[in-house]
Amino acid sequence: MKNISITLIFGVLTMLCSCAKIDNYVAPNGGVHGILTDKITKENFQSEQPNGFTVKLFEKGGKQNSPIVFQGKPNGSYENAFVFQNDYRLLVTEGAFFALDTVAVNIGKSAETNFEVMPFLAVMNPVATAESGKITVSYRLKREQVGHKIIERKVLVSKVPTVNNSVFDFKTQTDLTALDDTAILAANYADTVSGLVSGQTYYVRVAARTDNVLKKYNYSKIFTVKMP
Amino acid sequence: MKTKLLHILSALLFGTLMNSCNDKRLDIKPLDILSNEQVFQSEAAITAYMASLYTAMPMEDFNFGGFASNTDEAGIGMTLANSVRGGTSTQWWGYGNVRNVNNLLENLPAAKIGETLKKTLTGEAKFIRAYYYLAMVKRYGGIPIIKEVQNYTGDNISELQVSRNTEKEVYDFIAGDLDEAASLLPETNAKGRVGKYAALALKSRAMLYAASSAKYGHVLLNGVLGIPAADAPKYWQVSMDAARAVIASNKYVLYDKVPNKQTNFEQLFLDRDNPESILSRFFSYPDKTHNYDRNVIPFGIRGPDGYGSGTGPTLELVEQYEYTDGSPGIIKIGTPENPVYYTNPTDLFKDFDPRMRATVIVPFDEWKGSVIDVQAGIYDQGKKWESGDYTALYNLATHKPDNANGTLHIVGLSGFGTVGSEKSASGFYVKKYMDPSLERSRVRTLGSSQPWVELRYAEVLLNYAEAAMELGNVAEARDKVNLIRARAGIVTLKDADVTIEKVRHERLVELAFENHRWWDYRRWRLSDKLFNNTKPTALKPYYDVDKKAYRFERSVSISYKTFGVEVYYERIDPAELAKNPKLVQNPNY
Repeated sequence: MKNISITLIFGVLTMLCSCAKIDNYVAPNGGVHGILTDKITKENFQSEQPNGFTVKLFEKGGKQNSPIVFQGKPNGSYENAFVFQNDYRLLVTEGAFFALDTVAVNIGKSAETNFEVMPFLAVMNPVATAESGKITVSYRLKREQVGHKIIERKVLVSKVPTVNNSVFDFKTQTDLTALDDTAILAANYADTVSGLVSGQTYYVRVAARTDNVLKKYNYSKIFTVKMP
Repeated sequence: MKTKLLHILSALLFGTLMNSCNDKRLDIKPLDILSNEQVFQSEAAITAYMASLYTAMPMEDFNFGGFASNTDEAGIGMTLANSVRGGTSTQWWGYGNVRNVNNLLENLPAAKIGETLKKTLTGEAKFIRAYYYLAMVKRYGGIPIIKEVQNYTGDNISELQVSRNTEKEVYDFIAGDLDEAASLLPETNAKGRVGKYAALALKSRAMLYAASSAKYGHVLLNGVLGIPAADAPKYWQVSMDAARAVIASNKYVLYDKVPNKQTNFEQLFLDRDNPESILSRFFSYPDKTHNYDRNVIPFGIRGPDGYGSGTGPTLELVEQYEYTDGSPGIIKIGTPENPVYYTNPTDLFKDFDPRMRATVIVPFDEWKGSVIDVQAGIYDQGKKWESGDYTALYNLATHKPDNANGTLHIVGLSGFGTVGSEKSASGFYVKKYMDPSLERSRVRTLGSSQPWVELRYAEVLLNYAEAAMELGNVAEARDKVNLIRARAGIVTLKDADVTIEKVRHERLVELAFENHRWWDYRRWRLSDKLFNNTKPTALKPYYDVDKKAYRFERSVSISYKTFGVEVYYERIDPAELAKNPKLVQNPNY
């Protein structure tokens, strides 16, 4: 009887032994963030959500790893604060800008890596004016590096602030495939969206697209317009 | 003494234990699984194995769920938004299935069966493998081509991790498999199994997809996605040649058994002895069935299990059909201020392409002995009354809704519903493939057994016409499209009318609800243009009490659709990427 008790106590003690040590890995405690600046407008690179642009992190030493992939934000910033601290190569890709190469980053607590990107197109000096029931936006399109043909311009109006190519209540849309790029870039555009309700606040944005392979739009900043 | 006994006992025990190490007593064959050797001994077992390969073909049939709501065919239904984003809605990553085919192909040469049968089975296996690969390449673009059974030997993980082939290589591989299948297969095979012309028909479809990718897509990731544009003419030509071989065989005809054109088109999808079918998947009650009738039947005549109204055809679809004289099918309802009145409401659809009313049930159509009543409300003294409830009544004497003394139902039994309700919110129901002979008590879960026509002659003609048109051969395209139009019962086209839009249009209306449209819009790269926060339209019928006639109104639905550009190539499951680091993810995921 005594023997059994001793054995039991010994067994329990052995089992409890493993409780004394915390053998969990440390959770990812590194972070990386940054801003994409538009080389033409010198402002934050405007994009949409989802699918504005993608950030990929390739961790050093992980031959069997899949890259860590996350999406950038509409205002051109990106952040991921849940990665392991290590050396990475970072790639900003799949946006409406010319391809960039990967850069090496050492991700510590909060690493910052900013980029300058050359957009396919930039929307210059957009000005929105509201009259009763309609909004007119005047703007020009500009580019500094020639890529694909310019094919489309749009003015998008939405009741919600996240206005983009797939979130809108009203739009005007003009097909530019038949026009010569030089003529498009020389033109002063003024597009009107009508059918709007008086007193309502709308969010307005200009979008333009080249015939790029991933069908990405370049955007202006978002205007808030209160209808008279 | 005691110790000695203990020693002897221990020795004995040890000996017993060692004994079992010497023989293979524990290496028994599983009782519930046949091994490869056992399967390839007998014809019956090989047939059963083959059946499992057929079943795994991811045909977009009744059990697939349907893409209709993701296109403009339908989409005013039970769910509010039918936007397609994220690229995960139609996944099919079938390498387990591919392995099963490869296993058959490896073991067939040694199987104890006749040479003719061996040849046929090899042909079928190649067809099925091509079908699997087509299902994957149209979703993901280029994918690894695995032709042999891969085995793990303990240290060859990296060999098993294969990187993605280019999209072009995959389409060429599919073409190769189908060519071999066509040369091995007999002209006719057993019911439900593929013959030579099924292989060629599938080839014409696959090559059309390849050509579209070359012409309308872009090359990305070094060719893993997309095909060089210069290859487009070649693929159009290969598609056309494959279709031509099917046509030249004279083994198939357009279904034309019934003089009434509408009934004829309805029967095309129900006749089990169908001269238009090149490959059908057969069902048999109660062993192998589906839920099609239960899912899409009008609310008012649904079966004991409920459901119904699963697909809400849109007014856009209805108006895509032409009038029999070839004029655009815009319905004549007048304006809200000055409506056109119809004493007989189905007269609104008089002189429409007969295929339209064989494809959808229009408001107040008679079907299965009942009038499908989708009345949206009534007009009395110029005032509109609507209700969400069938039991709501209207009193003609007091000119007010009056459930106690009213005599007139405000809304119909099968509609008008709202988005999210169980009744049609579009005014229409699906008729294509619906079996009117199925008793109401059988319209229930796993109660349907009509066959699915996977490859039909009309599609081959349309493949041919599209490829011909893309190659600038107007006369050939015209002839094929006109065969389809003549069978349908509408005016044929003259040369001047034949454009690529017209050829595509014929394909869209002829093959509506056959789950082609999702892929067609996608391969023409039109989906993101057509579905950009787009709201479908419903048709609301009202009964005017004073005029004793019906009037109709268009109504834009509150549901909307967006096709995200990323969906042109679907997302590869991240779990697959984790298993095989050589796989590259598609863009935007």
